[in-house]
Amino acid sequence: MIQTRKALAFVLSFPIFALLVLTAYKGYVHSYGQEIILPITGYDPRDLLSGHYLIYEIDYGVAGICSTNTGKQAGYVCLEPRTFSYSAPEDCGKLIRGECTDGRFEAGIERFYVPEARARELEELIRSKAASIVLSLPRSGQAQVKDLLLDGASWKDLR
Amino acid sequence: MSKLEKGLKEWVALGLISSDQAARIRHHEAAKPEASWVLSGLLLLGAGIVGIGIISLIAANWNEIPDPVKLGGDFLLLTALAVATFRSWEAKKAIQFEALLLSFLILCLASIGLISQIYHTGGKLYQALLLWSLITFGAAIAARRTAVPFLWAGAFLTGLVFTALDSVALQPIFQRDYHAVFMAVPLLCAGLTVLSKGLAEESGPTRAFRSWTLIAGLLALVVAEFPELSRYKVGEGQTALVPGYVLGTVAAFGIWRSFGYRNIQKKLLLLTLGLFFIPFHLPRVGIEAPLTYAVLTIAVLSLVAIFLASLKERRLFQLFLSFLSLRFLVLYFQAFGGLATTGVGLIISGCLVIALAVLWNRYRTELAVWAERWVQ
Repeated sequence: MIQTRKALAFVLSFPIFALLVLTAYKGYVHSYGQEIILPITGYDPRDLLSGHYLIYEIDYGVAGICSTNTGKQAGYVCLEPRTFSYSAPEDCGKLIRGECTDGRFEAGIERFYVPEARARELEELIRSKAASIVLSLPRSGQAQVKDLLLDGASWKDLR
Repeated sequence: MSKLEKGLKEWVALGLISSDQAARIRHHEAAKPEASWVLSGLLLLGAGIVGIGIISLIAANWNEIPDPVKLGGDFLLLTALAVATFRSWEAKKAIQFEALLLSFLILCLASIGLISQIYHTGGKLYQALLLWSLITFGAAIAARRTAVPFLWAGAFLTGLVFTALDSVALQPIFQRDYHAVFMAVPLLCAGLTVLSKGLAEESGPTRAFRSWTLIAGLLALVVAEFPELSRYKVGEGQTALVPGYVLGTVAAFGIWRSFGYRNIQKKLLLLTLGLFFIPFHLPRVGIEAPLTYAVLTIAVLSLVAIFLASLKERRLFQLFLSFLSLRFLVLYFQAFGGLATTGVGLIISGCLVIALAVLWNRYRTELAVWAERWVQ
């Protein structure tokens, strides 16, 4: 189907270009988003395509998140002021956009990847210390995880 | 001993060709690129294993290496593989090209995993597969053989099915209705086959999409037999079926415009398409009797088998006859479920399996010949 050198060069370079754009976007949100810290609970270690990671629940400190939801629909958690709605709020200082699935809110930030070599040690540490997550919030509301804190210190600094 | 070798020995023994001619045929066949299928299979397997190894290395998450170095190394490797793939295409090294292309595609998937890991993205596996298949579509159809586009299409369809069932954006259309989604998938594959055939004749992508049309069609028939997988009851949820109708219309148009088929073959395919739609509508009109679903499945499988016979695709024809036999066996269990749990039921079932196997062994060639003649 691909017959010319130009066409082949294009189809081989397109995925690299697309992945570069994705990386640049993630890097931009990581560096320039508003930083917030939220406590987390209920750790569940997993191991899949991208390696070891922890799954947790985030305590947004907002009442009624997805409480009337059945099925699947978009959900918006506002941290300033603390409200929840099923449509994008207009005057929200810190917005997290996500999905409600059968009463559960997920914003794609419920996962933290840890190195295989330190996975077990971190699992033990996380049970004995107060854990929280550092998020980077862009205006679009598509939050990104920056760091995992244990008793207020980055997991990387704990030995 | 290969079929060719057996045939040559038989023809030489019967005096149809000379030993010299047989040797020349052997030489000619061995020189064909297709003859190196063992080598190409091993190279593709090796490329696949290397790719999985890279995914495992990335998954180990080496936190001693700074993130920019990991990303930089990944993009360097991707670029090097893309350049090597390009050069092997220019050098007309067909097998090397396919193996490098497969490695490149797997590394693209591993790169998505690496980006997810570094930025702690909480996406699901099907989302990664869909993203991967969308950005690598062009590269996948550059393949000349079937393996790479077949793997690509498998990942694409998996991503698409789960996205249709799970994503918020598609909820207003599909409403997590398995019937609507699975009805649409083989029709989409059929559309892609027609498109690919129009653009590149009988190429690797065309064969891959055709294979997935048959696989997805069989899966859809299985899903259709479970009315409880449809969320809708009588008179509800017609909009969920609209994507299937649109794709069905495109497929019907593609069949009718297809120059490769005779009129009777086209009519046979259109009839199959029409019958294929029916079981997905039965829960919506309140019909849940298993026998109705079974009859429709048997009718669709029979028509596909006859169509395959008309194309002289004997192996596929026989495969579909096996599916038919299996469906008849399941029908027996459905009809006499009470007996099946008893010793008598099991003995009868065993005898039925043996009888079907004997009949199948005795009449499979006659059946193929009859079906081929039927559509002449």
